[in-house]
Amino acid sequence: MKIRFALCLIALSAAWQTHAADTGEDLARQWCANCHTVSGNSTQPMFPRLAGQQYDYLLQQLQAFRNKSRHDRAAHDYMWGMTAALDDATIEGLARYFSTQKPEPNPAPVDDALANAGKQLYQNGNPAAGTPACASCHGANAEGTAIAPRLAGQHAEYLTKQLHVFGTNQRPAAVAMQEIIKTLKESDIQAVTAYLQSVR
Amino acid sequence: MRIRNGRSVFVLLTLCLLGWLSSASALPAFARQTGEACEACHISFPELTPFGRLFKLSGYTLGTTQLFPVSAMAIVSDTRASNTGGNPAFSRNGEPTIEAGSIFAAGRISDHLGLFSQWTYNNITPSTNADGSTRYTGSFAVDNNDIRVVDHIAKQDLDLIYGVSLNNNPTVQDVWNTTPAFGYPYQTSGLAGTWGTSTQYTPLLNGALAHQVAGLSAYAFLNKHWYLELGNYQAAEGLYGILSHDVTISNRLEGTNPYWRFAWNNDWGPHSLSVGTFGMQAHVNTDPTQSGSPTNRYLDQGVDFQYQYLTDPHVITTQWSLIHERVNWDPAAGANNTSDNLDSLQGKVSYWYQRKYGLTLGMFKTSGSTDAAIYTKAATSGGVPDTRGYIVELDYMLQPWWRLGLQYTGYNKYLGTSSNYDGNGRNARDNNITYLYTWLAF
Ligand code: HEC
Ligand code: HEC
Repeated sequence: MKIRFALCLIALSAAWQTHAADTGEDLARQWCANCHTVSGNSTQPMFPRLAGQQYDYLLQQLQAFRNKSRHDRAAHDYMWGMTAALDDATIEGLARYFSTQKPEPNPAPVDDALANAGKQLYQNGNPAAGTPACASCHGANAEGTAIAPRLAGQHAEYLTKQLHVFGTNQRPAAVAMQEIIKTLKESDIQAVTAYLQSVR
Repeated sequence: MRIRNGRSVFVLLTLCLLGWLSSASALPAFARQTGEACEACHISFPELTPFGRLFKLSGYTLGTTQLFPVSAMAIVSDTRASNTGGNPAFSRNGEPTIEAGSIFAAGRISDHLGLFSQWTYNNITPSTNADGSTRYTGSFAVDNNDIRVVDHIAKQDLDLIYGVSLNNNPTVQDVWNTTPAFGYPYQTSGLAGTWGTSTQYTPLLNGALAHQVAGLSAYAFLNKHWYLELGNYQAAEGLYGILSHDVTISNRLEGTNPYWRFAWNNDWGPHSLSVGTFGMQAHVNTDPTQSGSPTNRYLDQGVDFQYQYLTDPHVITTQWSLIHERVNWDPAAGANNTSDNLDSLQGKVSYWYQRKYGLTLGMFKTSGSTDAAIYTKAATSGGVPDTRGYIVELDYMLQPWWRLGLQYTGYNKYLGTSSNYDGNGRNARDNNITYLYTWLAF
């Protein structure tokens, strides 16, 4: 009796595989949305915003999580498992989905004076310290370019964490950033990330 | 550490074997299935993060089906009562004790079916020796079970997770750690439980039906805000007998016993907040061995609140619940009143640093009608069940799956009074417990 009941349940659910999440879009909404939100505009600073991110960058990062080359702690704890079983087609679908979501302004408040100092650094760099203008790669509005990711509206906390990660070997693909981070002081990092979070 | 009998050796060996077979990582079977670290789902086991709640509501189905979805858990501890008064009933006071080991079959079975099934070997099942001391043996029985069939509709503007849970403990299916089954304290001394010095009278929903009932409930979580659940519980017999396997039925449910849960949840920025209500109407046989015997009618109604602040490295969480119970006694129960009330308030605040060092302050308070015929252990106070106290707990996670906890439980009032509650000069604070435990999951 009990066994028949259990078998019945399993059979029923096995038969019910109709809309398994196999396109990137279903997966994005059912899984990724649990942390990054359905529109990719997460408000929880631990989870980076993905809306409007550059397609190529998303593709590269998902591959880097899958092959475990991006290996900072949060990548290991959260994203390795997420990507381990994804095939290339699904990764492309996911990158397409999030790159085409509309980025919304980040509602978290920032200190204006800090953000202004950050803007200065972002737009012009700091030749004295050897810091190039971030805008030259990340775009005038930090919207990202073919060679560097979107940073506008990203959580300052997440950006700060990544800049510290660039000081280690945990993101080996980020060759340019590993050099740039050597030129930044802690106060520069605070300022530029505050600015970036506030960019609309 | 003493190992009392052959069976515990067997259980330990099994645990070790399972631990070796599975890579260590809080429910490790879930971690392997999703590839996530314990921290993705748990603040610290069993308290859930927003993602952990969604994982559970999705019926444990996220991830890839594992061939061997098994985990194990063990608890080793040392319990000290503040004053044993030389009473031999306080067996093993201050002695290291292997309390219990559990095995779990847990995880995804298919896209729409998932399982959380816990079976526990309780190594301190008590019985009383001729001289009044307590003897402990081991016994294996069913523990928490939750089997789910679910579906998730995720569109741009509609997100609906809905499903059915078959479980054996009202609130075990709940995802906010405010309700009894997975509420604080997450771990308490099993020995103190057997000494009869912990809280004696709490509402039925507070665990009195655990592993004795089978419930089927339908739930829906809309747009990650609105949660609604309606279900029905019955005695776990016949078809459902496995859900009370090797458990002695002390509260037998007669007929239909509705359960409900309604909550509003909001996650924004680093914050997560929920408020809700839950409850159950239960018909409990006056004779637990006799279906059809007269029933006492319970109505338990609860309200609950949770707030979590989640950042790296600081985490602050707080959970509160208040359960109001009204029981209409059948004459066969022999109560002094036709009905009694019992209220239970429970709450705690925790701070975690780096998810590694934790401090929790908690409180509990029950109060109720005076009924000497029902609250027989409260004879000295003339049948007042009131008990209240506090908990201070320090935790250290050696690993995300290995916790060391030091917990102090203090009683300000016990069975209606703070002093001489037993008529032999024993005071409420004599029941204070210092509990050092280590909890491991493989
Ligand atoms: C349990 C929460 C969680 C889920 C679910 C999740 N992620 Fe992430 N994701 C994170 C965290 C945390 C990070 C930051 C990792 C780090 O700091 O290295 C991240 C980082 C990322 C990044 C890198 C962003 C950047 O700016 O470099 C991408 C891309 C990403 N996730 C995509 C996805 C996709 C696609 C899915 C679904 C398949 C998904 N995530 C599911 C938590 C999650
Ligand atoms: C030479 C081009 C270049 C310049 C100049 C540059 N970046 Fe980058 N940046 C990159 C590239 C390429 C990446 C992606 C690295 C990878 O693939 O992991 C990146 C990544 C980042 C990230 C991580 C984003 C994420 O979502 O994880 C941050 C933060 C960042 N850059 C900040 C800055 C700041 C601040 C400056 C100026 C001080 C700057 N960058 C200047 C090329 C550049």
